[in-house]
Amino acid sequence: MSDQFNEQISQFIDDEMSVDESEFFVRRLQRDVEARRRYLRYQLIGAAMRGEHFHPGATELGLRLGQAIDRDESAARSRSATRLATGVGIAASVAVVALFGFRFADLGSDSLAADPAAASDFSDAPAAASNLADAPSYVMPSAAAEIQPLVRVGGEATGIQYLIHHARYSSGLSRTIMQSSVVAGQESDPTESTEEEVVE
Amino acid sequence: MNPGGKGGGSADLVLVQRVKQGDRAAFDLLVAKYQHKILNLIMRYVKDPSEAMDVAQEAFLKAYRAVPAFRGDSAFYTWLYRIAINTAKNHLVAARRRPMSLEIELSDSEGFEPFAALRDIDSPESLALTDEIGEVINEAVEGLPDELRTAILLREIEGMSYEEIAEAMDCPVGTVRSRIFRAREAIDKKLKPLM
Repeated sequence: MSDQFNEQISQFIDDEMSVDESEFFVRRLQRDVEARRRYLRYQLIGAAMRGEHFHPGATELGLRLGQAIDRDESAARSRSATRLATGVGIAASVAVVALFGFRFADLGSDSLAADPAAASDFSDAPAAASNLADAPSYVMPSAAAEIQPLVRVGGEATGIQYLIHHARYSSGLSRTIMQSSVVAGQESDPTESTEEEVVE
Repeated sequence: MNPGGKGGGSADLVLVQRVKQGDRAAFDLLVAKYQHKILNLIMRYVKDPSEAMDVAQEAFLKAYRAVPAFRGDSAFYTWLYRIAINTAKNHLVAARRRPMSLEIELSDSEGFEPFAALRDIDSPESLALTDEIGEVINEAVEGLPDELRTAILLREIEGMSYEEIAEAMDCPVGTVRSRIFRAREAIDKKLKPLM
């Protein structure tokens, strides 16, 4: 370590270097352990001369602080990882809930989309039943003749009656959903249903 | 800290900039530069040296966490000074809230060293070393040639810039720089064996 570099340490401590000089100097100082020790001793000399409370233990403050920063950063990384894992967990849960929600909604809409207006035409019932027969989860009657006519109220079948009637041919799950929908009053608005939706 | 110097606080700004870029070693240099001042400041509030060291450590840790938000509107030391004062005050408030009695079971008391940290810092050996360092430095300053002693005293005690010292001593700035360095080197030669 040259005297010129040691003089630069002194100059840097006194803040008598330009920014560019300081940049260059700091890079070099960080690579040189002995220079850093000298830097510490020069600081200690100043503190002692000014009558500041100095303590040889104070030079350990840097070491203690380094350990504290390590612990702090490690804890921050751990918190960050936990937050990430929690975020991923929540996202996955939402995705699962959404997926099942859509599936239940699909099942429900298949069952609840019946249009009473269409149901009023009894001649279409066997055709609708044969369409439903394509779905393996449904238990269909052995013959179209077993299908009972809907109860008519004032000449028109209500949505609820249709659903109750339809439930006889539904799977257990669909039946439960339909009955729940009826009880909860979630029957689809018949005025908004179209005949195409019923066929589909 | 030398606002009137050629750097105008550039040394701190360079180090702060490097800390912002994730350079921990640069923060170590800032700690080495200000730890005595900060410890001195904190000891005006917290008399116990061991506690003062803990508070100083906490203050520097807070500063390290907050460095990314440091805009440089004020000098780094002014900013650090405020953090240290607030940390010391918070420490005092927390200490008042803490229950005073130490409920220690008799069986747990064997080998219990509540003041272990204090012992490390305030041990007779440590205090003797502090005194010895102080004496060695003072003697070394007294033994310096006049021009070196004046230059280092104007710098360290009066906080004058090189330019101001050059004017006071009627010599070029380069000579001041050299005198201060030679004074430090002479003192360091006596100090180094103790460290």
